[in-house]
Amino acid sequence: MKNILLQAKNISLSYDGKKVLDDVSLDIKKQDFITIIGPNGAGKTSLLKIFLGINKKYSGSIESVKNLNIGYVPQKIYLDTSMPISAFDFLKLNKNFSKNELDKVVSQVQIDSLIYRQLSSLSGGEVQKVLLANSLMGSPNLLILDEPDQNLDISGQLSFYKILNDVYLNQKISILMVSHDLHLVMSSTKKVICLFHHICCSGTPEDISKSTEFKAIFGQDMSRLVSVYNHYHSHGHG
Amino acid sequence: MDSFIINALLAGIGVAFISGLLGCFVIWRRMSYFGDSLGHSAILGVGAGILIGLNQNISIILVILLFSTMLTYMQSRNIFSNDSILGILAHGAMSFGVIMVSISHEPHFDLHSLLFGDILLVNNIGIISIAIVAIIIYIFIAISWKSLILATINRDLAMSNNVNVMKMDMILTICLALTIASCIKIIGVLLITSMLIIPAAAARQISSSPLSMAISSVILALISVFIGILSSYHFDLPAGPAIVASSFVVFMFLLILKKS
Repeated sequence: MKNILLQAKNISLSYDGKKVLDDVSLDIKKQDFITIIGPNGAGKTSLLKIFLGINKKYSGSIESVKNLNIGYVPQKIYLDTSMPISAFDFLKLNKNFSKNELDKVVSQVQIDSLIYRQLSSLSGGEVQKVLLANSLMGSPNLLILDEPDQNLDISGQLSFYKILNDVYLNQKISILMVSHDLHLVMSSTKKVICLFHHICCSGTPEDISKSTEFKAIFGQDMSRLVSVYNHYHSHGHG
Repeated sequence: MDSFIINALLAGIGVAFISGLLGCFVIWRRMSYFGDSLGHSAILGVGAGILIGLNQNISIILVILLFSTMLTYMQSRNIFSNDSILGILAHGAMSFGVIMVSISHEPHFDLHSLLFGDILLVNNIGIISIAIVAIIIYIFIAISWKSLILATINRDLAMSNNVNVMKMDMILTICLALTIASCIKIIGVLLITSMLIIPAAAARQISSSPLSMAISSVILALISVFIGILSSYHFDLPAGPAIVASSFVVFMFLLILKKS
């Protein structure tokens, strides 16, 4: 278990008889930066929820170090305008909230200017930064992010990944992220896992892009990678 | 002033405190149709209470808890959409309630006051039970305030913060059941949801945090209740519509004020 924060072995999960996850094993080590890619409905979010302890109806085993402290950035946040709430009030709901923690994460994520604004008035990128700040409270050693780039435009994505990368380098924490945006994944990630109910392939971005499994799923033409949403799963096993 | 109007005002204060606070959650969680259905199903509680000679407050609470259990079960079957389930349960319960009332041949039963509320119905026991319900609801919600807000914003985020979201849902359902049982005599079955929604919606326009919205909502509900009950007394109007009409005027006033 040396250097390992979390070790998942043979994780399987079914919904209504349908296999969502099939025998997934995965180690998260200290200072890992892992991105999970895969088509919609591949079980990516389900896997994250198992790691977070939100979903407990899986088979297999998960072992983690005693001091494992997970920060979580959810996929979507309910931004109904019916509830008036500022970024500051939202961060105050965190169980690890304290004045010191707040000051720390606000400067880490650079949200000083928007902390007293209403959440409903923030742009998608600004909301993601607030969520990232929220996940960093209590000094986690593992960050789990579920498609943080989903609703961001290009500049929003770039600035979000810049901050995430700074956090990764300065805090020396591990990051596990689900993403659809392969260009950003390939440029920022140390390790990529390609998931389609089972782990199809994993490795560095370069390894992955050469893998036949990967090509089978995502197509050879890198420019077509963005069309991952409509991908048809046609490769041999599974 | 007659003693019954003082009774009605005291009960109305309790109703405003309860509905003002809980109404915010009804709006935030989009539960207004749920509240409406609970209100309608309360007629079954009234009918069953008359038929078997049980205290109506208790039979209403029992019916609403049964209703919520069946709702949860039907949701877990995953076949019907929420609004279908609520429509089936609410109107089924209402029909059985009306049938029970009619076969009981209760001579003093007044359908009009059940539907629209009657301030003459408020007695000391009524006031005390509203006060007790208010205290229970405020304790429940004060203890779990942060968790309730977080679970309303994002369930996954709440769960990763060690919030038991199922428990939060249950607390809100129980509070809503208690609210409806205690407010029904003054507001009536048909307008109970409006008393939850309108003051909270009016408060939304002048608030910048969940807590300030809850406080404003209670204050606006108090204003509506006072105007409503006093005009009901002076002009012999049905209490429920008078209160709800007042809250509507307050809502429109703030809407126009905020726009200009």
